[in-house]
Amino acid sequence: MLFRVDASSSVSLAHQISTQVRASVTSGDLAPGERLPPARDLAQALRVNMHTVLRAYAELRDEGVIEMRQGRGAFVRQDASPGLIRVTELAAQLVHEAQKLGMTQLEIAQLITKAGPA
Amino acid sequence: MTNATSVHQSGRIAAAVVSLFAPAAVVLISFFLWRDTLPPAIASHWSGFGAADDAMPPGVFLAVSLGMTGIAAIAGAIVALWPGVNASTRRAVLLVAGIIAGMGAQTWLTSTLLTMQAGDPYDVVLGWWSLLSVIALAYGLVPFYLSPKPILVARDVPSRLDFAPGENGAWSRTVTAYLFVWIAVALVALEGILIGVSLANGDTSTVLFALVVMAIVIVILVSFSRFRVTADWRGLRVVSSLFRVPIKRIRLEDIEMVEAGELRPTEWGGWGYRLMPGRSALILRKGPGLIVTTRNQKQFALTLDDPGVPAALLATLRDDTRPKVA
Repeated sequence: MLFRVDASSSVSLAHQISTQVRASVTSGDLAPGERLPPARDLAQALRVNMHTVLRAYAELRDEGVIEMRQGRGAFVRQDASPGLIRVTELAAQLVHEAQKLGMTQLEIAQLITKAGPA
Repeated sequence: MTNATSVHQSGRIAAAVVSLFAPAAVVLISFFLWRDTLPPAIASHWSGFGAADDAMPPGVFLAVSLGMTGIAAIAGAIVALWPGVNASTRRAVLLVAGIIAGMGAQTWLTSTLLTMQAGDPYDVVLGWWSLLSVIALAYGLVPFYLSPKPILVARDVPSRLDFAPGENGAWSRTVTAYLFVWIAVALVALEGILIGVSLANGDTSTVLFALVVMAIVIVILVSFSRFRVTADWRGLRVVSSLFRVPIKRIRLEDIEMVEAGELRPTEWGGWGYRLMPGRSALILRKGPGLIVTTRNQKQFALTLDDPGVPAALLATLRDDTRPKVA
């Protein structure tokens, strides 16, 4: 897959990378089970710090898009469907907007619970 | 192609074909020169470094030598003169045919001369004369270099990526070559059968050697079975995923043209990792692939599902590193 990073962007480099991986899984360019480039290699290829790539991978792992296998690298999860990624993106947007309004984590969770089926 | 170029090329092909028949001619001429002094048998086989353990009548040995040199020359000539054959294939066939013909002539000359000196064919020791076979192998280079060089057809991908100032890009993909996996599995199965047969016959001496050779071949095949292709500011890199062995590296500044095209195994010497003079390729199937032509007029081709993006990226990065023409 093609990775692009813009050092002059206001979006962090790690978030730029994770967004592109997410988009590639959604578009089918990255198939379930496919291996992502090793963090060190991708960092060298993009001329960014390795920890930037590791942060992007950690973000994707926390979202359930990829899994990190000990000593083997990062792989797209078998259950990483475009639908799951869309919901993850919407959840991130919700949290972002709610935090702008000064809502706490608990209040956000209560909001989601209320919005759910009775 | 101009008429003068065409005549020059035809002349070189003719010279290459003629050179293929030189070893057969040497065998025939030497036979007629030596026919009255040839011994009744000529040493024909050695096991190890000692004296010969088999011999042939001169007539039979001559027929074998002429067969080896003549058939190689005729087969090579047919392919070289076949209408429409491409220059790469012609050169490769001439190289192999030249090697076989050279070996045939060397075997005849060495065995016959040494037998004539020793008198008894079973007293003939090859010794350092066996090094002549290396020179005989090199004879293949004669028709190879006489044959015209292939003219590389290279095109540059027209599309470019639109990078903002300060933006950087890299493309990476892991490719699994099931071709190598299946060949490795087939070799393991074949090796198992051969070892089983050897052990059943009580022949344990060759089993260890066969195991070591096969293990090396399988490790090489497995290392090619999964590799990572990366295109970035450094150029194109193909690295084995299993052992991280670099398979191919082409620096960005060395790239003259990069193309996303259709690869046909017949045009690249077959399937697998192909090494040809001036060209190399990792061909997994007929289909899309990346073709990189370097500034020193060498080509590398690689089977890829989506070669358009890495081709455009490499072309964009290459253009960015070159001084702009005003």
